[in-house]
Amino acid sequence: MINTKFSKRKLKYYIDNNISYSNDQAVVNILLGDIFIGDIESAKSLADYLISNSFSFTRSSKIPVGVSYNSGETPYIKLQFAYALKKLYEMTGIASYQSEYTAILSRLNTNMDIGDTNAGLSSFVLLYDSSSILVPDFRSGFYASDSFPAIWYLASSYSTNASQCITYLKNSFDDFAGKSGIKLGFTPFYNLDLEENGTYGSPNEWYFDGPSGDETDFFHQYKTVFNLALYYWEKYRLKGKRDLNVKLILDKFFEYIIANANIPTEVSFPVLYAGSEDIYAGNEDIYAGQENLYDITYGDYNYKYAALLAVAGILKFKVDKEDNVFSYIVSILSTLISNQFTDGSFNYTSGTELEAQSYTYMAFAMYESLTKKSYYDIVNEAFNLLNIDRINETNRTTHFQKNALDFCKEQINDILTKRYFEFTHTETQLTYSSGVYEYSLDALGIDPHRIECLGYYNSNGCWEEITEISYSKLLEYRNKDSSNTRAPIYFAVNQNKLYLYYTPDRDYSIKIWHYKLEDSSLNYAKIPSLLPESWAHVLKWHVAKEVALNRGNNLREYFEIWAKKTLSNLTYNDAVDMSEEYQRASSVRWN
Amino acid sequence: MNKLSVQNEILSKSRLGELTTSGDKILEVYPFNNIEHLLEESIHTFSRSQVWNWTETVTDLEYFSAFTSYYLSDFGIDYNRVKEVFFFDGAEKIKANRISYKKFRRLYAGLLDTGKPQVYSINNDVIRFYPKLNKDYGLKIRHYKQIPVLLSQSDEIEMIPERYQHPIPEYVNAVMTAILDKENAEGQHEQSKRSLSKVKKINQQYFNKKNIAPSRIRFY
Repeated sequence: MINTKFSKRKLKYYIDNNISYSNDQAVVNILLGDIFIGDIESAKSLADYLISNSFSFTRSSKIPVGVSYNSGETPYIKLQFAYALKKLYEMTGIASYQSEYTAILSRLNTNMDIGDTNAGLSSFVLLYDSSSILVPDFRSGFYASDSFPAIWYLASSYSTNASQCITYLKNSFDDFAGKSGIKLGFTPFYNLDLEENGTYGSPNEWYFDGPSGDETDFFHQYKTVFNLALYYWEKYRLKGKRDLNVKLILDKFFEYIIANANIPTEVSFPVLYAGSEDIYAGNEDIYAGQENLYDITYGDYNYKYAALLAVAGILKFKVDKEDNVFSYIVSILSTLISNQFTDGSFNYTSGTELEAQSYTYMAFAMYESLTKKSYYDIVNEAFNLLNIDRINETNRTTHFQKNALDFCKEQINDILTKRYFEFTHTETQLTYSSGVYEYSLDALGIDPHRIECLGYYNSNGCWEEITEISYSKLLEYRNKDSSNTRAPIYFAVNQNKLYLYYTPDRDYSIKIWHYKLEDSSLNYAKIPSLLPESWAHVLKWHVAKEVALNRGNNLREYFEIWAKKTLSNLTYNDAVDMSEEYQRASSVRWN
Repeated sequence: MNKLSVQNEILSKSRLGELTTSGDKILEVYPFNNIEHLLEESIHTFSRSQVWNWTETVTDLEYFSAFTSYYLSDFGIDYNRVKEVFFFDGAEKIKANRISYKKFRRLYAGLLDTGKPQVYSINNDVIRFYPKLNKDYGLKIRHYKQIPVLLSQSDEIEMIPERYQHPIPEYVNAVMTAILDKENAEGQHEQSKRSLSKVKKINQQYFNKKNIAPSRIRFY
C-alpha cells in the first residue's frame, strides 16, 4: 500500500495553474485521470472546455489522420479524447459527449481507411524530404504506440477496428521477439502499403527505425503497453473475459521488466533503456545490454515512463490480481511520491514537464480507483455473490423476469430515495440570463422533491437565503409586480419548473443545494458516480438480496442467514436503519 | 499476518481446505465466489462492527496556501469518522468547534476573513474552516481509521492488533459452518443454532464491544 497523502490534489492544482491547453497530450491525460478517479465535475468542466475550444478536427479530410508536431493534432490523442468522452457519457448520460465521440470516431475511421484495409490504425504522415522540408501530405505507416484499441472496442460498431489493432500489436510483439529473442517489447513501426507511401522503406514490414526518428525512445514501448492494458481491462470489465492474446503480451512484458529492473533508491526508475546503437546495429543485439537500465541521465522522461508503466500495471492488476505486479507498481508510485515538492509538482525540469506531471496525475488517479467502486462494480459484485454472470444484456433472459439493468437501477434508487444520504448531496449553480426567472429542473438534473435550499452570497460574502413559497403565492406576487427586477427573495417549485421572485437583475451566482438521484439513463456500462466504501458495501448486499429474492431460489436462505443473523446485518432494513441514524445525526448538527 | 496467510488459515480450518481456491469449487458449497471475497467481507464487517480504539489516530492537516477547503480522503481520513480538529498555540491545545455544513454555509462560507480556525464544517469529504487558514497552524485531526482494503496477497493486516488477527479465520469459519449446515440438511436447525452460537461466542470473546463510540460519531 502507498500513502497518496496530498499528492494528487496538489499536483492537480499545480498542473491546472501551469498548463497550456495547446499541450494536448497533457490535457487529455488530466481528463483521463479525472475520469479514472471519478471526479466527474472536473472531467465535465475540462471536456466542455476542450469541445468548445477547437479540440476537434479542423484539418482537411486528406490529412487528418497524421501525426504533426506543428498542429499538435494526432489521431492517437484524438482517440484518447474520444475514449474520455465515451467514459464521460457513460458516467453522466449527457448526449453531447456521445455525439462528440461518435463524430471523432466516424471521422477517424473514414480517414484511416482510404482505399485500404487499415481502419483503426493511426498512420503516420510526418516526413522530411531531402532538403528537410516538411512534407505533411504523406502517410507512411503505423506506429504500435499510436494504436488505441480501447475506444474502438467500446464503440461496438467499430469492433473490427479493435481487432485489427490487436492483431497488429501482437504482430509487433512477435516481430520484436523474433528479432531480439526476448519476449518483451514491440517493434515500433510497420510500413503500411499505402498509395501515398512511395519512398519509405519496404511496404508491409516491421521496422525499428521509422520516419519519426525517435523510435529508440523507450516511451514507445510504455505507450503501447498502456494502450493494450487499457483495452485488456475494458474488455474484462464489460465481458468478464480476458483477451488471452493480450494477456500473453502483458504477462511477458511485466515478467521481464520486473525480473530485470532494479527498484532504485534515488530519482531514477526501473525503466529499460534501448540505446540507439543497439537498435540500428541489427537484429542480433537488440537489447543485448539488458543491464543498461534507464537512469536519471536521460532526464525527465523517466518520470513519464514510470507513471505510464504504473498505470498499465494497475490496469493489469485490476484484471489479474497479481501480487508481484502490484508490488512493483507500489514501489514506483512510492518513489514518485517521495519526490513531490511542497507546491505539488515533481522534479521535472525539461520541456516535457507538464506532460510528465500529467502522466503522474493519471497514475495516482488510477491507483486511487482501486479502492473506489462504481454502481456498476457494486452490481457486479452483488451478482458475484450469487454466482450470476456479470451484468449484461443477456441477464435479462437468463436470470430475471425483467431487464437486469432496470432491476438493478430500481434497487439502487430504491435505497437512495429512502433518505437524504450525504454522499448524494450536491450543489448546482443557476446560469443567469437577463429577464429569466423560470428554470427547468429537468434540464438541471435536479429532482424537484429533493431540493434543500436556494441561496447566494452577497457582495459582503454574507449568505442570502431565498425562501420557498407556494407556486400560487409566487404567481400572486408576480401578478402584482412582474416587471421589477432585483435580488430574488422567494422561489417556488411547480412540477419540474423552478420560479424566482423577483426576477434577478444581474448574476447573483444563485446556487441550489439538493440531493441527487441517479438518472434514468443507467445502462449496462454506466458508472454514474463513486460511492463511499461503506455505502458501497451496503448497496451490494441490498442488491444481492433483492436479486436473490427476485430469482426465487434457495440462495435466499444464504442471505437470510448470512446477512441477517451472522456477519454483517447489511440488509435493506439495516441500510434504512443507518439512514435514520444519519437523519438524526444530521438534524442535530443542523439545528 | 498478511492476506495470504489469513486465507490459508481459513482454508486449513474449514471444509474449504478440501477444495482448491478456485472460485468454481468454492461456489459448490458457499455463496461467495472466492476466498478473497470472503475475507474481504469478514474484515469489512469486523472493521465496521464498532469503534475500535486502536484505530484512533491523529493526522496532520498539511497546510497548502492555495486551498480554502481540504478533502479529507487526501489525508486518508474517512469523513464519517472524524472525532475532533485541534492545534496547539504554544503549549495550549485549541479545539475548533464543529458545526453543521448548513449552519456554516449560512454564517461563514462566503466570508473572506482569515486567521486561526474557530469553527469547521464537514460536508461529504470536504472540510472547511472559518476563518480561512492564512498560515500553517499545525492543524491536527483526531479520527478513527478504516481498516484498509487488502489489495495484494502480501498486504499485511497491519492495523489489526495481533490478538485480533487470529480470531478472524475462526470467525469466518464459524459463520461458514453455520451456512453449510443450513444448506445441507432440513432438520439441522439445532446444529445451525449451535454454530450460530459459536459465532456469537466468538463475537463476545474476541470482538467485545466495550469501546463505545463517542456520541457524535456515526458510522455508515
